[in-house]
Amino acid sequence: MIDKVTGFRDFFSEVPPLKFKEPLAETLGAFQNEGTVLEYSFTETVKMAGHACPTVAGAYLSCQKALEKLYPGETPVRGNIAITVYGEPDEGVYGVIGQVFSFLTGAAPASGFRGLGPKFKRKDLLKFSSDPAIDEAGKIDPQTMCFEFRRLDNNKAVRVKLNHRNIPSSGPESARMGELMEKVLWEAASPEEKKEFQDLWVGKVKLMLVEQKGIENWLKVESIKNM
Amino acid sequence: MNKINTIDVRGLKHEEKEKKIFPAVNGLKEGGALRLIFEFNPLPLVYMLKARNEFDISFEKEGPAEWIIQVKRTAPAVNQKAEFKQLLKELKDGQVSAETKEKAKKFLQGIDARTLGAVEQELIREGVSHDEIRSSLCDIHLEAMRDALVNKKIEVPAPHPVHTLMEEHKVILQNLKELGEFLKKLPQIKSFKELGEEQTEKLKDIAHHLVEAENHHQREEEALFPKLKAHDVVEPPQIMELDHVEFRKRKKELYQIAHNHQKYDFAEFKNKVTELGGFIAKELESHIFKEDNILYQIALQILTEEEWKEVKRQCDKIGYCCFTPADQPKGDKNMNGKIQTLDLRPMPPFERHEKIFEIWDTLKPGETLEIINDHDPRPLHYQFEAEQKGKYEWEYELKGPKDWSVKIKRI
Repeated sequence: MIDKVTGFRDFFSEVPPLKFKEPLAETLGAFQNEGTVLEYSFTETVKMAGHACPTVAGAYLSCQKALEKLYPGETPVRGNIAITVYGEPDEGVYGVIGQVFSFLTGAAPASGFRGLGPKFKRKDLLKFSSDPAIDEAGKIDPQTMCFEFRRLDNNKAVRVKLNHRNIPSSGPESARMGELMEKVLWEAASPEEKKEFQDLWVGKVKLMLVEQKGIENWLKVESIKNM
Repeated sequence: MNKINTIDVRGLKHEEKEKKIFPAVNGLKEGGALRLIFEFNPLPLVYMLKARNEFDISFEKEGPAEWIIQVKRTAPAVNQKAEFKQLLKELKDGQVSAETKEKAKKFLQGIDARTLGAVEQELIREGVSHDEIRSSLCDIHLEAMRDALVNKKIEVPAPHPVHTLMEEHKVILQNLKELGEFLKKLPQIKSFKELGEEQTEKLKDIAHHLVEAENHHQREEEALFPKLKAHDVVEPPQIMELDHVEFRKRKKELYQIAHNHQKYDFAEFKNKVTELGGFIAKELESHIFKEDNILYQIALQILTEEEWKEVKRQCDKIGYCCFTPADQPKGDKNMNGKIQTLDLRPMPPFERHEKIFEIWDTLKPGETLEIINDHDPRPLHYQFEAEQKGKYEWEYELKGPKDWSVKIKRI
């Protein structure tokens, strides 16, 4: 089904938005009322990224789950979260993941806002690390992508482990998707094949975001003890 | 003694450097000399000038802050460039006579890969189009240079990026051979029925492998060519990039026809496949020959070890084709001793890690654990680096895209 207002698939609007306070916008008078809470939806994330895919969905969920753990019963604050992505920006999908994190939390790479005096600095709050992420037991989990979210006001931190391989989908389905993708990219797919490919593709996104099937096997959030 | 003029081109932009250097060099009288000062090693220029067989070039200083070369004219300005230009003209003018062909062959045999690249580059700067050089030279170039170049070819071992690219070329050439065989059969066939399902599937498979090679071109364009351009070897990679564009257009069309043949009547299908396939089979083979024997050879002479490491890193990030062969030679002398093989693919992910270390802990020095996995075990490599540094050797046997195999030897 298609959302008539946004033009996107209906289920996008079923995904709970992330809510934030935005002290920079508040200080500079962007809000009509003090204490305005901003909502960042999956649909807006898709607009920023230009597409929906398991990577964008995984990054959105990682951010959501990390902030739920870091801000229990509170509204997260944009610009108050530092993020480390354990991967290089030009490696695999880490660059796209970083863009989603940046869009949602305000944490920016070197090109970000320098701040006003001592406040509101967004620059360098998003970092990429080529080092492997080592967990509390001193081990590296070779199966997962790893991201660290740290609150700057109390130094509490969580580690998110995202393992796309554990997201349920059948082997034949993945093979079919790969075969159809090549035909779509080289403009040889029939309208039916194109539709089949798109349905398989967004089907996986829906499974992650709405159904969250077996999420405990592919998305884990762990607290990090402070040093 | 003649006075030697000095031209200091340090700090100038590339075009400004050229504007100062070439008129001065071209204006040298026989016996006259010129001193040029650079802030980097001007090796490509040195080769370019040497290609003209008119100059003696010597280094007066070789870095680290500045490079000084002296260029002395030893012969009047009859040069390979002019000869080459004349050849191009003759080759372009319709029928190629046996005499021209012989002249071209002789010229090309007397020139090495890097010099040819330099001369081509100079001609393009003077307005001769890439296409002109490409289309005029192709056949004779190959005929003339095949033996000479193959004999001079530098081979590098795995996992050097050039080794991988050249191994992939072998697979692409095999696919082109199959395309050629398909095209040979086509003229006698009168209908899709006669062609049969097996052959239509065969064409789809050939087209699939052709488009799969895009990743090979991407690695060249994004990892290797920029490094050559940074050394001022600009035009030869640009010619290869233009080739890629031409192949891409035709591969796309062939792929579309192969997958949608039912939309065409057989005569149209046959014509299009013959035209597109014929172009790809011929031109891609010649392109591969030029890359193996000219472009990669220039790169092997120019790029530093550090730059090759960076090229490899970039290539790894871009990824490989489904047909990329394993990038480690089999039976490496460092990998002897007892080998235990662990296939991780059927195991649940959470069990794999534990199992690897369970076996690793039992290995004696000289023994090897070979793991087979369904993804790149790069993070495991990091763990070995962190925990087992100095105690292991890591060698990839197979690098995707479906399966990875690594031999980890205890030392």
